[in-house]
Amino acid sequence: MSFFVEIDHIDRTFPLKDGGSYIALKNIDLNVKKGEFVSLIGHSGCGKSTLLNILAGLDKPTQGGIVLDGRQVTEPGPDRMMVFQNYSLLPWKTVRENVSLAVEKVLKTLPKDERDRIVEHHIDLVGLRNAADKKPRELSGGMKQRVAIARALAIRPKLLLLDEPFGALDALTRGNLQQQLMQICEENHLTCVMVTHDVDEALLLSDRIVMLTNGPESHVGQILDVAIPRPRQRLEVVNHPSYYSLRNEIIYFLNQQKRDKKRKQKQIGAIARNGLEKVNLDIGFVPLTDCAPLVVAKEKGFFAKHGLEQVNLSREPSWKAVADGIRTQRLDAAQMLAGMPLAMTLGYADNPRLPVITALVTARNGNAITLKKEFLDRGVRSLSDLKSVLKDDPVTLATVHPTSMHNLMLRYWLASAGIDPDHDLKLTIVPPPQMVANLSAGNIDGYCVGEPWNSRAIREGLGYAIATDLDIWAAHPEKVLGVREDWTNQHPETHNALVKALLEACEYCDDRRNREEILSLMARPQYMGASADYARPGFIDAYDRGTGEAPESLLRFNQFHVDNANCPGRAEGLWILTQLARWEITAFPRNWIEVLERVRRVDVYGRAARELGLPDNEGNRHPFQLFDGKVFNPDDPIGYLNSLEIGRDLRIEEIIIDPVSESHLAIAV
Amino acid sequence: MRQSTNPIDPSRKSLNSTVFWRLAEDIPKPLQTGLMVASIAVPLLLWWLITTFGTIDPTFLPSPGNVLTAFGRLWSTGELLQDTVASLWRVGVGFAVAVFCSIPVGVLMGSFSSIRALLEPLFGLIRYMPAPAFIPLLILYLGIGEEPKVTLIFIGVFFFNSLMVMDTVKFVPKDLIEATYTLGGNRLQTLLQVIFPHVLPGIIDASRINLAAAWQLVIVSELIAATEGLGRRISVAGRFLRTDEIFVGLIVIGVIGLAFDLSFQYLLRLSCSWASQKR
Repeated sequence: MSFFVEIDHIDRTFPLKDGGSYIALKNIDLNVKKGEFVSLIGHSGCGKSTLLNILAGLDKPTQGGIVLDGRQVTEPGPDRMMVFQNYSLLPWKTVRENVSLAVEKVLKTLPKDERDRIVEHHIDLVGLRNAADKKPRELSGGMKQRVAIARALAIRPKLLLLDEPFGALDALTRGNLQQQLMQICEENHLTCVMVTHDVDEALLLSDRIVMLTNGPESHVGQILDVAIPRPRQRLEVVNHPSYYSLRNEIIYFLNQQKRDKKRKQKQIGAIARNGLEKVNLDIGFVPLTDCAPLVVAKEKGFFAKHGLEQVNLSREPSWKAVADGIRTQRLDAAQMLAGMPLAMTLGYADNPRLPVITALVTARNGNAITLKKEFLDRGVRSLSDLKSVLKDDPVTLATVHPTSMHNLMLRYWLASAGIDPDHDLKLTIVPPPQMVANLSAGNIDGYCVGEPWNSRAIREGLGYAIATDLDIWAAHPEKVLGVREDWTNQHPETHNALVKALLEACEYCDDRRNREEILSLMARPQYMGASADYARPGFIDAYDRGTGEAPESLLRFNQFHVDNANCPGRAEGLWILTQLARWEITAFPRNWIEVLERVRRVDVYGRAARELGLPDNEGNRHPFQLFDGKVFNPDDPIGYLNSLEIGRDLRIEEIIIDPVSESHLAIAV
Repeated sequence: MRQSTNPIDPSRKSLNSTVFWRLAEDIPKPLQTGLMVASIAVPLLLWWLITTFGTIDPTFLPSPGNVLTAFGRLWSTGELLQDTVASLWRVGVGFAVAVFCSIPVGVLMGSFSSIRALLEPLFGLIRYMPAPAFIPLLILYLGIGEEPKVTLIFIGVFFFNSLMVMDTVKFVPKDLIEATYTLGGNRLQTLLQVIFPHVLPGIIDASRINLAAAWQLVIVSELIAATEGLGRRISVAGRFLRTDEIFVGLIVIGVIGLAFDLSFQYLLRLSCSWASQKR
C-alpha cells in the first residue's frame, strides 16, 4: 500500500557553536494516508515544529526525506500550505487581497473570473463575508486565523500543515474554529498534519496522534489511533467511551516525558571528553557460542584499538553470577541475556530495582529446544506431539534464567499450543554448562539453551532438537551488552569505546570466512575450552537436529551483525516486557515508554555506530509477529497481553525507577 | 437615605487619581491642545516681557518687534527668499540623493546577511566620523562651489539612513517570509512584495529623522563658505552685530524644519495607514 505522505527515516542535526552537533530528530518514520488528519504532540523542544518545517520544505532533513504523492519534497511549494500560529497575513492588504494574492500567484492558469470565484468561495467558507474589505488589524485573532486558513485552502494544497494554529486564541474562539476546521477538512477530504500542545484539540481533530519523545534524538514514542466516528461534534466527542482512556494515555505519555526530562537535567555525571575514564575493565560472560564477539574483541585487538588496554573477560558459572557481578560492581559490564537489563531495572524475584542499560545487542538467535532421545523414539516431532505426551507423563524442562529469551520463548512456544508452562509441566532453572549432565542424569526431560549445549546432547545421542529459535522468532535479540546506568553515567566515553569495539567485533564475527579462526580462539581454555568442539553446527557447519534428517544449512543460526542486528530496538524490548509480565516475572510498567527509553539506549548505540561509519538507525517500529502469526503492535502492548490466552494475572504498575543515588555519584566524581 | 459609611477610603489603597501624570496614557484633547499652545506661547511671552520691561541692549537681545521689522526688511529686499531657496536647494539635492541610495542599500543589508557583513563594519565606522569634520577635505577636493555642500549632506545622511533602514528590515517577521515561500514566491518577489511594503513605514520614519540632520548640516556648511543661504545670512549678520537678523534666520530655519517634519508625518499616515497603530 502506498501512502500519500511518506516521512522516510528523517534525522535533523543542528551544528552547535562549540563544533559539536545537536540531534533534534532521529529516525522519524511516518506515513500519512490521503484524507487523514494526523497530530504531532510532545513537549516543547521535542522538534515537532522542525518536523513540520521539513514537511513544508522550509527546512531540510540531514538524513532521509519526504515524499508527497510520489514526489520528493525539496523546497517550499504551494502543494503544501502552512497555517502559522501568528497568522502571517500581509498587514497592508485587505482580507480579500490577502486571499487573492495567493490565488493569483498559484492558480495563474485559471481565467480571471474563475480565480475571483475561488477567492469569494473561500471567504464564504470561513464566514468572513462581512469582513472581506477589512485589513488584518481591524480583525480579531480568530478572524485573522480564519483568513489564514482561507488563504491556505484557496490554493488547493495537497497537504495542509498547521503549526499550533489555535494556540494564540481564547478558549471560546478556539473551540468554534476547531469545529469549523474539522467540517472543512471532512467536506474537502483534506490531508492534514497539525502540531499542537492541546490534548483535547488533538483528540477532536485527529485520526491518529503521533507522540514524540523529548529531544535530543526525538523520535516517535507512540502512535494512537483515534477511533471516534466522524462527523464529530466538539461537545459530544467527550461522551465517546474511549475518549477519556485515549486522553489519559496522551497525558500519561507527556508526564512520562516530563519526568524523563527532569531526570536527564539532574543527571550530569563525570564529564570526560579527552580519553577514557577507565581502561581496565572486567567483563563477564557465560561460555556459549555467542560470546564470540567478546573473545574476538579481546583477541583480535578491537578493545585495544579503541583504547581499552586491559580488558579482563571473566568467565561466569551461571547467569545469576553475571547479574550478581553487575549488582555488586565486581563486573564493569557483562554479556547479558536480552531480558536481563529490563528485568533488573524493573526488579525481578526478590531483587531490588537496579537501573541497568544496554546499548548493544551482541547476538541474535543461536538457541534450540532439546528434548531427551526417548521422546524421539515415541514419535514426538512437533509441539502437538509434545502436548499429547504431557497428558501421560510429568515432564520437566529447563531454561537458564527467568529473564532469558530461552525462558520467554519456550513459554511462548508452549503456550501457543495451549500448554500452560506452569501447570502442565514443570520448568526449572539450570545453568547452561550443567544442562547436558542433568539431561543425562534424568533430572530434566529437555531444555532450551544456547549452543554448544544442544549440539553436545545431540552428538552424544542424549537428545534431539525439536525446534530452533529460528522456528519461533527468527532474529530475536539474544545477548546484549549490559552495564549499570550509573556506570555509563560515570564512564560515558569508556562505554562508547566498549560499544564500538564490540560492534566491530560483531561485524568481524558475521564474516563467515573468519568463523574457523574464531572457533579456534574460543577453544582456548579461558573461554569455552573443549566444549567449543561442539559449537560447529550452526556456527560453521549445517545444523544437525539429531532427528535422523539431513543437517540443515542455517546461515543465520548465529547472527551477530547483519540486518541491523546490533541496535537495541525498543519494539523488541517491549515484547520482552510483555512476556516478563505475562509470566509474572516482573510487573508490566504502565510507563513502558520511559522504561524502554531508559534501558535500551538507542542513542548510545547510535553515537557509536555513527563514529564507526555504520548506519545508526533503529529498525522500523512496525507491528511484527512470531511463528504463530499473532501480531504484536508496539503501540498497544496491553491489548496484546490481554489477547494472549495463557498467562498469569497481569500486574500493571507505574514503575518509578530511583535515580542512581547521588552520594554514589559524588564518590565516583 | 444614608450614604454607606465605609471606614476605609478606597482611594487610599489604590493610586491617586490624576489627569496630568498618567503613565503611558492619553490625556484629554483640550488639555493636550492647551499645553501645546503654551509650549510656544510662554517663551514668546517671556521674551516680550524681558525686552519690553527690562533694560537690555537691543543689539544683545532684540525684542520680538525688532525681529519682525528685520524680517519685513529682509523679505522686501528679496534676500531672505533668495537665501531660503539656496539652502532648500542644497538640502533637497543632497538629501534626495542620499535617501535614493540608502534605501536599496539598507534593504539589501537587512535582507541578506552577506551584504550586511560586507558593509556594516565600514558604515559603522564612518557613521562615527562627524560629517562637519569632512568639510576641509571636501573643500580641498571639490572647491568651494555647491558640490562640497551637497556632498556633506550626502555623507551626513547616507550612512545613518542605511543603517536605520537595515534595522527596520531585520524586524520583518520570519513567518511572513516563510508564508510567502510556501505560497510559491521566489526571493525577488518576497523582497519586492513582502519585505519592501512591510518596511516602508520604517523607511519613511528613518528618513524623517535624518532630514533634521541634513537641515543642520546645510547651515553648518554655509557658515564656512557660501555667498548665499540661511547659514551665510546668520554668519554675516553676526559680523555686523545685527542680532535681529540672526533671530530672523534662526526662526526661519526652525519653522522650515518643523514643516518638513510635519509633512513627513502626513506622508506616513497617507501611505501606510495599516501601520498607524504601531506609531
